[in-house]
Amino acid sequence: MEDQGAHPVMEALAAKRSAIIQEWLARTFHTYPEHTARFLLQETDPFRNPVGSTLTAAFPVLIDAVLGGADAAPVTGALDGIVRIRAVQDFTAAQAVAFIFLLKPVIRDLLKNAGQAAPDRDALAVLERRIDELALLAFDLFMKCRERLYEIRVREARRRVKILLKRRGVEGRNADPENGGNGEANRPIPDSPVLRFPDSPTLGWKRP
Amino acid sequence: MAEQTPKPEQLLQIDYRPPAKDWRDPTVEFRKGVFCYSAAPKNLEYLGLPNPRKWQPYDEDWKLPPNWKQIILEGMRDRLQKFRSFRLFMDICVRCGACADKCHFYIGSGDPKNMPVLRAELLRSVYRRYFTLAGRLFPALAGARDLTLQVLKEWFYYFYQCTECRRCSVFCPYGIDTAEVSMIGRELLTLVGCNINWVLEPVANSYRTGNHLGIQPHGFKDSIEFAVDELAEITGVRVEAPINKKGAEVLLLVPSADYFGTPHYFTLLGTLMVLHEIGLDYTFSAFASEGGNFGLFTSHEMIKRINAKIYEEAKRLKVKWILGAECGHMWRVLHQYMDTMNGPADFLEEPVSPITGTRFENAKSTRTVHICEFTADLIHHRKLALDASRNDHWTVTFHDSCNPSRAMGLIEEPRYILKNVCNHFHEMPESTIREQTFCCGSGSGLGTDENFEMRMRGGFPRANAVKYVRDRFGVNLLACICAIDKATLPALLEYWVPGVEVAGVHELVGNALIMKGEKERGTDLRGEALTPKEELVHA
Repeated sequence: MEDQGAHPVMEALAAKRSAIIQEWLARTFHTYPEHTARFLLQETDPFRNPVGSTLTAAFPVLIDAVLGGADAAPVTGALDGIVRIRAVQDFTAAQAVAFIFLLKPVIRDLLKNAGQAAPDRDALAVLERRIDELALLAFDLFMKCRERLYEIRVREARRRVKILLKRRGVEGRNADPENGGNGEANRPIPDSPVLRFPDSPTLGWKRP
Repeated sequence: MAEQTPKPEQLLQIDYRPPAKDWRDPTVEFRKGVFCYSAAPKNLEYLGLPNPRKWQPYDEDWKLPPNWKQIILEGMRDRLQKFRSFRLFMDICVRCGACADKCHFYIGSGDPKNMPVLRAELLRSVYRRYFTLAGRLFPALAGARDLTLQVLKEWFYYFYQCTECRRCSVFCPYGIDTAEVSMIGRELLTLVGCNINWVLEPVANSYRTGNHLGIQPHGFKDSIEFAVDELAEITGVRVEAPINKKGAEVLLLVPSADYFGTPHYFTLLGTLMVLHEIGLDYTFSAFASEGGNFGLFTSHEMIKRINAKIYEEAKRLKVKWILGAECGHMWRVLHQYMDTMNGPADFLEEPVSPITGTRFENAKSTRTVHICEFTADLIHHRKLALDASRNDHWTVTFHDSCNPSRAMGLIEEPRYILKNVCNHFHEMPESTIREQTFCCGSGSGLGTDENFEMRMRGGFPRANAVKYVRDRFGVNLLACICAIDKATLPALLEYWVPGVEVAGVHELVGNALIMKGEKERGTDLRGEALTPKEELVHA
């Protein structure tokens, strides 16, 4: 059984919550070119700086999940906001989700500076597993985003000639349920990603 | 193998920071999803443009003419002499940084070369090297660069990552219009045959048939007749939609996307309904069957060539003035270039609404009125019977399309219309609308599907503001008055803000319009069932 946050290491980290968030954010912003990192960090208007603001709002939710365990819904929502951005930016798949792993050195450095050179192995194992689970969830979300991109591209192409097809009476089987089609082409893509990750002992994610 | 396995401590030392890069380094990577395909040789041939050949940006060899460098530099010298604005924009930037974080592509991508100042610097550095004394003598000190093949490729990459929306120019204290720098950049690239198909195919089609889609007169007639039939089904009223009617009072100009694409088509329906209801004596032209002008994204000369048909058709059909429908860049051309390029339109009359008597003094010179000005005037004079509750299934916000808002100051008219035809309207935050509006990320010919990821980056700031009003007010419809918006925003919103749809302003006017002799409306213009009034009362 896992220790759900009562451990001294967890308590030490919980006390440093905002320092962890700041450092993790700073390191994540530095995955962008130097000038951009400064802009993402300093501009606080959410409409002038939507990327920085999304990350700044989401990181506390993720930290709470890692330090104390949390419900799946807010974690998924927060992570989705970040991954949706990084899935279309100039990153490879690995680079897009690597920011999760940046949390590990942040925590280690912090513990080292706090004089906990050799913290409890069990507590560290729990922390690292939670971070790994977060990374796997991020990868699932990344894939979902990429799949959505291609689905949306197809739907866009259909929209461009929709009336032309209608005029010729060849709107496509998928389009028209009344003509024996299944209506699939008209169905909006579901927004919330389906979490297929097995029940997690740490974050309490449940199968939908 | 065993010795090479990194220790856990080593694993933790991975540096995720991208390597520091000097801005003068021109290397770019053409990764699929973030650039547009090259123009097909047949389109260059059709237009008589130089160097038609098969090539793609990711090819090592771009098959340039041997003297490409000379062509570019001579082209630059020619334009520096011809356009005073260009020379000014090359000289006066003090790199204050006011524009730096205003570009939607920079905000969404984080790529520093998308900062307008740096994008322009790609061209300025070459200007300094070959056209200024300091740059010739001390290139490194003056920030000058040699024109190399890599620099040319970098130009292609970044000048086709600018939607020419002109948001940055709003913030420039010197009034530098970076869109014009991009336009010159594209002109120079065109001199050596480096252009994109999503721009040149519509241009070639326009040159041949009058419209981007290459629809010939009989196909055009079919399209309009289909719309008339559909309207008869929805409203019970058969509207008149004359084509090539000589002596009509007004020539109606629409973007060709309105014929086939959705949601554009519903805007066309709304427009036809309004013009029928007030009994305007107007005509379509089967040749001036396109308001849009992708020449704007090619060269100044091409703008003029493609636009010539509009005044020519107005003259041939002997109309008094021109009414232009909902389109974005079409209005930049009509409002800012047409008069001097293809005018003077002294054979036309100063536009006066025959219904209200309003004299459109702002259109005195071009003799071309925007349909939103026209309809807002009709509503103001209570010439339209409207039932806004027919749009009650929509909670609406308005996206100022870049060109109507920034190029012609058309800001209040569409809002005035929307507030009269909808009961639920909410604005997005002030820093994202009106003159400061964020681009859809797909303008200036970049709205092609191979460029999809770049479009998602560029459109993120716009989508982010839409998300705010969706979450706060339950907005489920984004209204706009640009054909490119209507083509590309649905996909953008599907990715960033699912649940919000896109519509033209005149679609909503059409829904609300009570027509003389109409049957009870069972559906809106999209064919979606409307909730009958009695049920609403009982609910």
